[in-house]
Amino acid sequence: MRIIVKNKQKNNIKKSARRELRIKKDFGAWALLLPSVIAVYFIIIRSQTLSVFWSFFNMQGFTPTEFVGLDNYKRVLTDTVFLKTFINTWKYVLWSILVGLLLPFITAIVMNELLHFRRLTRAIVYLPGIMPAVSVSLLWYFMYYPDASGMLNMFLNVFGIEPYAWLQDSKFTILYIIISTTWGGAGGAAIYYFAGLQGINRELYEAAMIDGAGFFRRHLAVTVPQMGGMLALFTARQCISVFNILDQPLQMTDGGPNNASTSLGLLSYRYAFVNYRPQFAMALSVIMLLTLVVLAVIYFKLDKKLEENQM
Amino acid sequence: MKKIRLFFTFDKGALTDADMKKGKYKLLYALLILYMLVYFAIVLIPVVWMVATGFKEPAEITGLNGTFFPKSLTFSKAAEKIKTTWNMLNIGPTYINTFIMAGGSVIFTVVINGLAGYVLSRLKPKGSRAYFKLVFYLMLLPTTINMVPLYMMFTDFPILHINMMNSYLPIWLMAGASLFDILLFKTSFDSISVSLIESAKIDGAAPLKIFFKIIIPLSVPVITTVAIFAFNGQVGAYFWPYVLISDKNMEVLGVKMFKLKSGSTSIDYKMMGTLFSILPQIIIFALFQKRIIGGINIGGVKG
Repeated sequence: MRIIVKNKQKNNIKKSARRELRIKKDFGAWALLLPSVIAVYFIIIRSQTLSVFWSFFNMQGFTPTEFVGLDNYKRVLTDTVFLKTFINTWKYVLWSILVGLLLPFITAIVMNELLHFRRLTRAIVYLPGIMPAVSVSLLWYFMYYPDASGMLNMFLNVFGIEPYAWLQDSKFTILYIIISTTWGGAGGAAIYYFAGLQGINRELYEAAMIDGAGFFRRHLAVTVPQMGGMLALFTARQCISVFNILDQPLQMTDGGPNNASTSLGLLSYRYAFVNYRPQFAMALSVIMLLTLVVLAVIYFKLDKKLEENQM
Repeated sequence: MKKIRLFFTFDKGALTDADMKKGKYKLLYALLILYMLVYFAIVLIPVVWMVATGFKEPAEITGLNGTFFPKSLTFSKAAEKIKTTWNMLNIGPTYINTFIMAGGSVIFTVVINGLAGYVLSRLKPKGSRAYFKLVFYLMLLPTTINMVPLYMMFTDFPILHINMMNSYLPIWLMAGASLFDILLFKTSFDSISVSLIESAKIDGAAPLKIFFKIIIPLSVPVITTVAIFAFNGQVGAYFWPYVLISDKNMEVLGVKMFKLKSGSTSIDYKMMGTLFSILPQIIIFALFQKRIIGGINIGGVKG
């Protein structure tokens, strides 16, 4: 009996010592994690929470003063430019899907098929990707320049066509901005897709070939399903980032002509840093966030349904 | 890591050698080449135009008789143009400012997110899984929502009550909260063999020592990749520097480019300025091409 009790005591001592060691170790680990926790807390968690919280407050400059309930939301939603801006933002998303979605994917497939000068091809395709977005916008702003000094009008001039106002044409301003962002971003996306294509097992293509599938059929049967996940992810990411577009319209058109290219992101920026009504900026940000959340929920529901149907 | 090696011995696409003997596929291959050439033209013409316009005389740009390339360009004229643009746009100090901002961002990105990745991958203290999940979900949120609170925070930082306007500290701090890099570091540390670390532990090495003596030397590829991407991303940053820094002596490249659009200089100087804004990245790309493409690959495999 005594021996057993002694053993038990020994075990208990060992256990508590081990626990102490474990706590000590955990403490050290958390100390290493601390800088990241601090940065993530202040930069992301705290500011996003406050954004929601303060959107219900009136503000004097950048200082919250009193709780006003949904007043800020009312003001934002009844602002005459809100509806136009909301529609514009969807135009940005739609154009970017039309122009920018398949282009890098197709380019990657072509890159994958061509066997000559692959290294050079990759470097040239990626070239616009190393330009800062702000430089791409500046370059395209001057390519779109409304008089004959713009590059595109210079080409039109060769064919005897009068200079066209490009970005001042309110019907297509958004399309032209999206073309410039696609020019800057498609190369990077193509390289990502190319990496994915290189990861596809070649035996799948050979199996498809033995089944008599031609070039296009092989891609439909093998490439598209294999790359589907990546394509969906990139599409979702692209939609979210275009939904928040701010830098390009700010630099290229400043939302003009007559707010034809004002996006929700730009409107929010204007509320905060031009009109000094940050409470409206935050209310608008929350509206944008809610829109994205609703879309995400729909997306996941659809995804689930599709999966169930396939089962 | 396996995927990166793939990149240096390319795999073929869906077309096989047997296909290529058929006329139909030869034509298809030619069409693919044509597609690529058109793509090259679309990519390169604006870049060439930018360089060409940079070297033009202002009189050559305006007017209907403008040409694509400068008409009368001599070596001395070109050198003169580069020199005047350099001085006029104050490129030297701007480069230094940009390198300080981007370099600091790189240090914050690598150290803070690297340590976080290490803890989440190797040490796994109690509760770290919850933090990992949090990081993962936060990554899905758009960043424009926190514009105003961030600005307010930087004008009067909580607890410390310091004003961070007119310093690069806010930009560095934001680089420290790069969620994607935390995930990238974690997955990369996950792939380091456990036995090495175990044997070091038996020898009594502390976590930090393991980190510096084993993890870091083995992670040079992912660290350089993250560093290059962080640097490239920050060289062109303009929104936050524009909003936060009003001191002219601290102006960075991105802000300079943003102001250049509406500045009073003629287009040729603006295009020459744009050229200066991509020069650092072109040099970096030329030096680290393999790393950059390989890095894209790491991200791509993950994504």
